[in-house]
Amino acid sequence: MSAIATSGTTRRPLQRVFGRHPIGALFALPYAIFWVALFAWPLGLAVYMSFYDYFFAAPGAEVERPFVGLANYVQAFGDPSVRRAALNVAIFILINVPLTVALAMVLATALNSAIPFRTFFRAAYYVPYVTASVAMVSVWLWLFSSGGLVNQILGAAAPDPSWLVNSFWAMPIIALFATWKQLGFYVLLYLAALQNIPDTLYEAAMVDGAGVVRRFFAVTVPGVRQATTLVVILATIVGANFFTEPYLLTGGGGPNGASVSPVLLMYQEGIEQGDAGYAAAIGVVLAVVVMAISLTYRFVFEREDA
Amino acid sequence: MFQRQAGLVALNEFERAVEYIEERSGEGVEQYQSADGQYYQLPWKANPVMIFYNRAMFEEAGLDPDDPPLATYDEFLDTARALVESGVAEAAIWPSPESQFFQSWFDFYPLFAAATGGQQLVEDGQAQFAGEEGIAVGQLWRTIYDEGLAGREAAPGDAFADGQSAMAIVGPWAIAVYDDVDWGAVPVPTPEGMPPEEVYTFSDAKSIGLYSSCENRTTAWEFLQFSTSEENDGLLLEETGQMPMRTDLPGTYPDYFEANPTYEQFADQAARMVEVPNVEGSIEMWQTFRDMWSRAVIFGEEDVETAFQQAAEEINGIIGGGTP
Repeated sequence: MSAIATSGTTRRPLQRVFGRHPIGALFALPYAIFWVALFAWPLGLAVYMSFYDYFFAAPGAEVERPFVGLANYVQAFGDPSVRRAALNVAIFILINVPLTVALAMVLATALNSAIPFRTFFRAAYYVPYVTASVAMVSVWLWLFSSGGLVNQILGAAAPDPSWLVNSFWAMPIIALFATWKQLGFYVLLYLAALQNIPDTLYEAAMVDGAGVVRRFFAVTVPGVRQATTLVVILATIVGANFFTEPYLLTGGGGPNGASVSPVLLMYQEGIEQGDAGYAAAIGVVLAVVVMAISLTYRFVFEREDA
Repeated sequence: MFQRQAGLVALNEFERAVEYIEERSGEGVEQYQSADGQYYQLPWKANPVMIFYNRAMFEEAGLDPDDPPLATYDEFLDTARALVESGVAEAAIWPSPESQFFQSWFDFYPLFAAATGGQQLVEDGQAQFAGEEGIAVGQLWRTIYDEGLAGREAAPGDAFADGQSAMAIVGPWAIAVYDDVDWGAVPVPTPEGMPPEEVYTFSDAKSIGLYSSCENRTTAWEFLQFSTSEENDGLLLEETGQMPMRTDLPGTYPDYFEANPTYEQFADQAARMVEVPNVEGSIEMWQTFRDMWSRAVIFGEEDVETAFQQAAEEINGIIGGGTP
């Protein structure tokens, strides 16, 4: 890669648009089409829908969908269910993200060292991630329902009402479930990042007299910082979209909406109640908020990197 | 909603369709008309909701399985208490406490229909449930939940089939699931008790619609008539035990009811059913009701009477203004 070849002044027009190897654009085309069809177009459509009294109609049917301006947004900001869902996302992220980062980092470090049954453990942590949520929810119902294993162990110390119908505990249980379910993926990201830390750094730390804990905080944590940024952003984005858990684990966002999520609300409003325009407005607000949080993370982490 | 989406054909456009629907299903069929007076659905089959009870559990709890005391609210409560106190089942009855809009069709609505002699949740654009009868139904279920006679959490499977509850509130479609249970069925309770032949309930009916995308509508309509003919309705009944929406079932299919006497009471009950009101904003209305039910009745966080009145006001706004 020479400096001369990358100089813009010598490029032909085609190269200016598609780079030094225009065929690369061809290779990227399938993904570009995929991205436009499944991300950009639906996002654009959602923004459009959110300004209309939009509802889904039969194929070929001509129906009137009046323009309503910001009415859907005004309704969303005034809706107590939306506020409750926003609070729930905040609770979820506050529990899920730090826990995911801490557990994934510690587990990855452990699984990276020479421990017995390492392959078994690596697979074991990954299994929940690739197993269908519905199946995993059944396991958690068996654990956390009123007569479940956890309450049987706790006996009189079990909360009343039980975990999943307790307005205080429902969200933390959902956050724990999501953390556990996704953990395998984040452990994998950290395992990959750990391969990039040179052994010499650990050796040098040992020569300086650092123990296991000191080496973890002084070498491992800074060494995987980029992975941490990625994990934090991904965990936030994935977390803010939680749906299966309140839908199945707490019976439709119960008790009394204490575990309702924005995406569940979108489903209720858009699909069940046929008010797709309003659901789209909630979705757009959610996307903007998640984007803002992700950008804040990047700003914070990258400033620390600088 | 399908109608707003221009997804369904008004069956009135076919010759003699209205006569066919009304002759087949008889009295009460006007509940299936939409607000514009048209039939966008052909009422097909019903599952009149009744109280199923586990005969063995009743006997074990010292209750008479041949004449279970379940006719009045007081009897129902005492029976429920006896069942739980005797330890024969974890719960006396276990309707789903989940928050989906339709769940109130299987706890509140059958009892409301019975108490009011067949009223719908809303009539003439006004909520009907905040009156004395509706509130009494709410109070009854509130007591059931407060005293731990029903589960506040969804049962892991089918509570009645799995022996976790001694009663279920469901239609005859569930009989196939209750293969291993020696069950009996009675009409839902009413405040002071009523003869069974006067008790109304929720229909849990299913209708057939004709999609507007259908290209051969006349053929489709002919097929609809063929598949709901007397002969084919009889086959449905025979194969599934589900009740076709047809007048005088016992008189039309005497052989079937002679061979299956337990089904006779469902056929009889099918003559007194209430459908969910066919109004715009119906799902939003039921979700509003369900949210209130969850707060005031299942979790007992609000006063039942006040909550019912507030929900009625809210629902009057929804059905008055359509979906926002």
